[in-house]
Amino acid sequence: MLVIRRKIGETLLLGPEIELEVLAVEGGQVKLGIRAPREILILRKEIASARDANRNAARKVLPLSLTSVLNRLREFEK
Amino acid sequence: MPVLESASLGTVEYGEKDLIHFPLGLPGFEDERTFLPVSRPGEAPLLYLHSAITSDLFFLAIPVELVDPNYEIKLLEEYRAVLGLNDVAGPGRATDLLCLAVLCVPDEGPATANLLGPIVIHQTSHIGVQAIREDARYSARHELFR
Repeated sequence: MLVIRRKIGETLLLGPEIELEVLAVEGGQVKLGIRAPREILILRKEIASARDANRNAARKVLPLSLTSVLNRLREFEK
Repeated sequence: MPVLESASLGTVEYGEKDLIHFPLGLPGFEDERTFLPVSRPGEAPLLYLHSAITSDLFFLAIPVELVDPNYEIKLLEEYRAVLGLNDVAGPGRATDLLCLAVLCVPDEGPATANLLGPIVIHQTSHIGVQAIREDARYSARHELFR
């Protein structure tokens, strides 16, 4: 991983069109400003993880797999 | 009584107030704004969150405390606003919240629960949101029976 130190107000370029600016650092959080073309999708990484998990969860479930989960859940509840 | 025609569950009757509205949709399913929670006999505590517009789309979910009894809900400001929890005069009371973990049950390998983004439903207003956390405390693929 490339590591770069930047101060508040300083910027970084990712390729020719994406600009990242450090706006503020407060209480362990970094506030970033991003300038990028409209077609660039910018997502918190957790949302991408949740999206992938949702897509996997929406797949067909085999009745046998479902039965086994139900049985395990009942054991768990005891 | 309205009915939902499900490719997997058959015909399900429901009342208008049973529907849960998701103003933001779900990540990856942004157009899916309305779901019907369906519980089937003999399958408790499992819930089918069935799409009201797509006949073959549902998510399996269970109360999050069955996955992790110590699970701590943490709602970002944007999700609190959707659920109406910031409106002091409104219906928003944290005690009316139902918090569900979406399950992924693959053909092979362990079943997992999404603890990174629990489904939070306000049971009075029937509004729901998938509340994605921003801390790294919980996984989107938490193994169910470890």
